[in-house]
Amino acid sequence: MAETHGWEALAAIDQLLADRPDKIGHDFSTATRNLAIWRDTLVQRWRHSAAENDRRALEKVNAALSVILGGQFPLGEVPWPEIERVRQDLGALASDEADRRSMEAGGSCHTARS
Amino acid sequence: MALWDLANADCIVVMGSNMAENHPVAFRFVTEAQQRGALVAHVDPRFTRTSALADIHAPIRSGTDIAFLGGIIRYILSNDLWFREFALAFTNIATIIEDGYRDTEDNGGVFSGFDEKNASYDPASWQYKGEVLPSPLAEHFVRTDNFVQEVSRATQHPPPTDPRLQHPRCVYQIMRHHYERYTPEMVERVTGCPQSIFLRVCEALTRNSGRERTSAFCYAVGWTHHAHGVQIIRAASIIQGLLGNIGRPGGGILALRGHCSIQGSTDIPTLYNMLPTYLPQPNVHLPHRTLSEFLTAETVPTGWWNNLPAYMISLLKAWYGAQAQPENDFGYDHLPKLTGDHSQLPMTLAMVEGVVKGQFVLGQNPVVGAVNSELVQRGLAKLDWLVVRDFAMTETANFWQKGSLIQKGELAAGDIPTEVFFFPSAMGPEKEGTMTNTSRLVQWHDRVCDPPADSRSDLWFIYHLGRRLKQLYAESAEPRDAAIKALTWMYPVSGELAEPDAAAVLREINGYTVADRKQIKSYQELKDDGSTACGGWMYSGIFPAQHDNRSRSRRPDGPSGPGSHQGWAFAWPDNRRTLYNRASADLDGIPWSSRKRMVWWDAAQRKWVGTDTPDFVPTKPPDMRPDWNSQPHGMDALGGDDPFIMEADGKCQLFVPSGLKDGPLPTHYEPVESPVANPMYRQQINPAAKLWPRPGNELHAPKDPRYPYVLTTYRLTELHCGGVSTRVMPHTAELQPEAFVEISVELARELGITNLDWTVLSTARGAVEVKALVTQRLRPFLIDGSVVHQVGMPWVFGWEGYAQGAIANVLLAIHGDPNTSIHTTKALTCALRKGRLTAAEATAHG
Repeated sequence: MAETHGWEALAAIDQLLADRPDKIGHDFSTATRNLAIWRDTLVQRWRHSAAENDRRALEKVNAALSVILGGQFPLGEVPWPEIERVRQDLGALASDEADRRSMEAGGSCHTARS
Repeated sequence: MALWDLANADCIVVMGSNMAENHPVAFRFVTEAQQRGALVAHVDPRFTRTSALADIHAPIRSGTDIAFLGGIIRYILSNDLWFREFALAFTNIATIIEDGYRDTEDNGGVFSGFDEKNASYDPASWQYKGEVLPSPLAEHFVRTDNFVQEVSRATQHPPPTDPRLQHPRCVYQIMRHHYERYTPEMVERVTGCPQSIFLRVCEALTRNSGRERTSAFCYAVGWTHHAHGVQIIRAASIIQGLLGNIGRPGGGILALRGHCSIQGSTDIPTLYNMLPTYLPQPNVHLPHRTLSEFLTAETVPTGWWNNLPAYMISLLKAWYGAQAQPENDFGYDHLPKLTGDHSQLPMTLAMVEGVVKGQFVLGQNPVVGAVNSELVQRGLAKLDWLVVRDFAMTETANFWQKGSLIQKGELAAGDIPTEVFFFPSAMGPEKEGTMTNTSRLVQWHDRVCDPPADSRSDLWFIYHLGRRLKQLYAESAEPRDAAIKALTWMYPVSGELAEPDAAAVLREINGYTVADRKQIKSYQELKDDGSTACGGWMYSGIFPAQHDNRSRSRRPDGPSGPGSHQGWAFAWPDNRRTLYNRASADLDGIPWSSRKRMVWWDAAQRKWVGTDTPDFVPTKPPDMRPDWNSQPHGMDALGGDDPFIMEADGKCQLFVPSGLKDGPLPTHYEPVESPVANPMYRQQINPAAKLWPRPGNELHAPKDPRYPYVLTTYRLTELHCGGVSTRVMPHTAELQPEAFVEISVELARELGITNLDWTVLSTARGAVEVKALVTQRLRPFLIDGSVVHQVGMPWVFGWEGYAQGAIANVLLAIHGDPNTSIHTTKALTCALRKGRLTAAEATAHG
């Protein structure tokens, strides 16, 4: 679930960066909503695992949510350069997460097979 | 100005307030002035009890205040009725503005610097010619790579001026051009106020202003609750600056506060973008990474705000104590940084998006009092937890059980995951502390009895919550928990309930020396080296010694005293009753008139003296001029004839080069929702208004035929604010037993409605049914050739208490003023019909 909303959030941010919509609008909503769900999922995961990786992922998504929210409700100009940086960080995080989940799934299978 | 100083006014204009009903204590001084011969004018869409007591009632369509006030400015300028000596010396009327400045008159209704995509302004072209004027503690000023160097020019020479007022871009000429079309005819066309009545207000104001006479404005949320509310107040400040009605007895602009300590909650703030006593909150998108960067970017080189470092570092010392040291930037990293607009309106929308996990609601009832009530409830339904503290059940606390969405069948209580914690709170007499009122007057009140059962004071709740959080995080090594760990939280408690000592909190706000914990006597003692601690610099002096709580003082002057009542409580700053009171004397320091004297220069003593605490450097002579060769900073850069010491140039800002997000001069724009096209400009609404359209928060287009009527909301004398505190009391509830919509006789006739008929009011946000109150207090307006009807609905009802009724805020939309993000409650549009709410109408919005 976290990955789904993570990728959806990334797609929404990509769309925002491509369109650079006018400040007045509802365009940030999809990104914000998906990031919030991603964050909530990571909260649950970290509470369950207490793993350092999960904690770091949660911190990154939480920080990204603050920046995106600042884009949705800006004080002055929309902070596009910061949103670009957030996009890069989240992209790397989502890829790492996917790799990690994949490895965990593989490791689990390997363990089961042995 | 002090409330009681209103009695010294020769003319009082009450506008944007039903003062007699909603501020009855303050209105006492209006009637006192009237008994002394003052003329009182009430400018308001409705004929209320304030109108009944006024000499003139000028009806205007809601939201057209700037057209009315702009008309007064034009009247003053075109008839040359301004107080020339005052305005030339003390305002920026002669200052020359940048060549690139373009006025709304010549630029399609917007000022130069407008960025349509971002709906925001770059104020570079609004600057004084050749200067970059920093804005004291505002979020909006020119930002360039070498900003610090550019603003430092203010220490090298005074701003360019043309005292003859001939330069085409001096403020005087710009204002004349800007307001040229605000003729009495145009005022009537836009506001609906007959020219003859408008001119009577102009004549009254100008006749009662000048060397011998002064006039005052009183306003409340009828001015602030608009998408251009700040600019309405600005328009009044231009009038008062031109007429010499600032800093003088009986002159000023009185912001009437709606209930006790609203002023205090702005000073020691609940506002998201300010630290206590108007220090800026650091912003992640600005050069605020370190304390040094923050102070460099935010410290204004000239004027009083140059003292920011002392106030900021003393605040950090008060909050973080021994943990605040120079090597860790005095704990500056502990302060949260803004990433955007985190005020109530966007945070409501963020709740709906699922961003916000929990909310504390203390001292308010947003389901009733916040705009777009159903969207508010949708947001509350997304929270994990909600804490509500009140002394009676509120609509906010039981929205999950009885709320609009439940009533409509859209949600069931079981669908709402929000865990609600409802805490009983103590009432005013059951707790001690201070209240800060309209006049910045801080008054102590004692506890007369303990609260019953589990009821506790808010101070108790916050203190013990903080204490428990500190315990919870005591062993944490997480950087994010460091702020809570570092927080000083050592207030003594007493009694069975372990009630914290409110006086100890006030002592900390006053400030003390760190080395020996001695109370400081004035903010002038605050230092930027960490040797002083202070929770709010403007309150310094309120507790100047361990057992000297000046907010307890109750010594009125008596009939033969000076009338400033300086022995009655404490008015911040420095127990000063009238701000900028240096302006009550002329350039030479002599009172403009003996009848209107307040502060003057005593040449023998070589200091400023008078009936009030001088709002000036006490020993700076009126003929002192800055030594520009020495590149003066702070107050050294202001002369003895610069009374407006909180401004970088010491002048009253008729034209605002920095600090406002929607233009340097007030301009008439239509409300965001309006039944008419803007008669004055191609630009329909404030171009920088904060609009957040989204499903559930749709806005009506201008002239939308589905919503032809102007809708305004207001309070009732008998029911206080959100209403619960008085709706649960039988003796007040029976005085206003149910909700209603107030409509004119003419509109009632047109719609076939008679008094007490059921009606349905609807907007794109929601629909409600209420009974009709058909009155002559509202009348149709003739606007630009068409009849426009206005209806009014009190916003104080809900489903709790004895007096119940529809929530008016179901109808309202979330949008905000660009400077304050404050909501619009006074001018929207709606539909109205006779009959009961159908199931289809009730569920149409969602």
